[in-house]
Amino acid sequence: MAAILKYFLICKLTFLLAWPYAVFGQQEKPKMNRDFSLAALRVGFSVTDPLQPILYEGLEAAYAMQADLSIDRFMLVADVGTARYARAKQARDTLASPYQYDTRGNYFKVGVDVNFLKDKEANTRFAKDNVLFWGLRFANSSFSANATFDLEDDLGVWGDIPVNEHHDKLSAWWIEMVAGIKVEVIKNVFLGYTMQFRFLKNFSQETSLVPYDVPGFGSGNRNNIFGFDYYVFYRIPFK
Amino acid sequence: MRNPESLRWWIMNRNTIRLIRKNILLVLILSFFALTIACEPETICASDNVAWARVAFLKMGETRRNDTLYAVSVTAENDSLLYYLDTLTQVILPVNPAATTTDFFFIRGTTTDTLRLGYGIEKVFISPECGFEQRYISLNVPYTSFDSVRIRKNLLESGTDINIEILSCVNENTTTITAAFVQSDAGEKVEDTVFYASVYDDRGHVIFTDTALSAFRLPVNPDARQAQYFFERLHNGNSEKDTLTVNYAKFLEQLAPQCPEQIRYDTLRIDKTVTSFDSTTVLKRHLSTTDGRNIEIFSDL
Repeated sequence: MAAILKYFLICKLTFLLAWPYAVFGQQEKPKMNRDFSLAALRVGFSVTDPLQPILYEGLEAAYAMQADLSIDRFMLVADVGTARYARAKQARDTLASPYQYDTRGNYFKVGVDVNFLKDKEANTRFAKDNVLFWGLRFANSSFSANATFDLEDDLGVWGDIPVNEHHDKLSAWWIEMVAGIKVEVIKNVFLGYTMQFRFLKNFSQETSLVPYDVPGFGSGNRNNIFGFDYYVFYRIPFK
Repeated sequence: MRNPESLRWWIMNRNTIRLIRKNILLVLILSFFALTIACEPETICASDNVAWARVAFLKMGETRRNDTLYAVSVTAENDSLLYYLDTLTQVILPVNPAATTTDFFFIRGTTTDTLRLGYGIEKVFISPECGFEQRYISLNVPYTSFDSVRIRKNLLESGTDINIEILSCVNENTTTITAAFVQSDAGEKVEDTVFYASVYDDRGHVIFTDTALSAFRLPVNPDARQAQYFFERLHNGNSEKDTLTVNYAKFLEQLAPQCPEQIRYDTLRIDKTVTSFDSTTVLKRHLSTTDGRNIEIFSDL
């Protein structure tokens, strides 16, 4: 079922990106106007990240900001964010003994986006304006984790053992493929969303505590994840 | 009159907004599916990870043969008694979850063998409902007093897979031939019993005296490649003698580099030119303590 949905998403995303070409590509194509000077800086913050603790159990807080530098139809993008997880079970039940598991850390992502939206009048695809983009990111997360739990002895040989694990300087990296839009709603104020496919996750070191929560990525048990962010941006034009 | 430049800007942005609006429903649907896929799959608390290793006993040799330890007791390093005077072909050894090595002691009579298991430990958070478990990986044997060990599977998981094989230099060779008198009864072969006043070999060693023989053992001559056995009985007051002559080869055998050399008697044959029994058969050419007799003599008495 997951494979079918994934395939459906990829097909629809491809359609979404190709649609402007289908509409606008039928016309004559004069040479596009290009300008590779720095055009604008857009700075924004995520609206969805602070709301994610409502949806995801264990996520206490999450914040993210993004900045992109527009050069012709390209955007040099940088994201930074932070996340804090806290999981606990106070009393033993039929499934598990009590535990406390906290993770906190920061992450950054850098990459390049390409704008596919064309200004028909000006014959440009400048990324400083409304954009429909696709891009790639390299992401890295640095975090710490602390776990406390009792290891129960089912065979009655060694007795129950309390476990306390603390690890600083954990890190993971992954690649993101992104697509989304940024639309100017009032002068220099943009709203936009980004869909992300995070993959090729790697932990930078082996530890005795296998990370379950990875700030910026999500579940450490999974090798790839889909994500979604909604941003508010302010543009600072350079010209 | 409106400025044509601002009019053009308005038309362009209005088309853009229409583009966004037309796709917003599609985007919302895609977002819903993305969130659905991004949600974690259901997990169950049942796990394959276990905190014990399955160890099997084997005999050293070219072919894998199960070994059995008799009257053996097994304890862990904290003096927990795991097995007491048991007959064992396999054992389950629970490792210490608070350490990366565990010693086990195998006590047979006055002999104690040690097996030290080494392993890595990973703490894994299964899910919020299931909590934590430990996974034991990279199983190894830093020390053992057994002849040899072999790691078959270095991950401790449930199931019947063997983690470690303990191989012993078992000497199954013997210096005696196992033989039996048989006869045919309604087409089936059954053991027969024949009374002999005396059985002795070509060196003059008396093996049996006034004995009813059915299944019996005959010692070989370690200094020769042939042995001759004489079976004397009294029949109607007369002494009658049957002869059995066997040929064999003597080898020096070493099951493995860590095993001592042992003498093996093999290629057992009956020299029928100097054997008086009418019908004899070699069933097993190797003189060993394993099941099966070497020679059958069909009694025609």
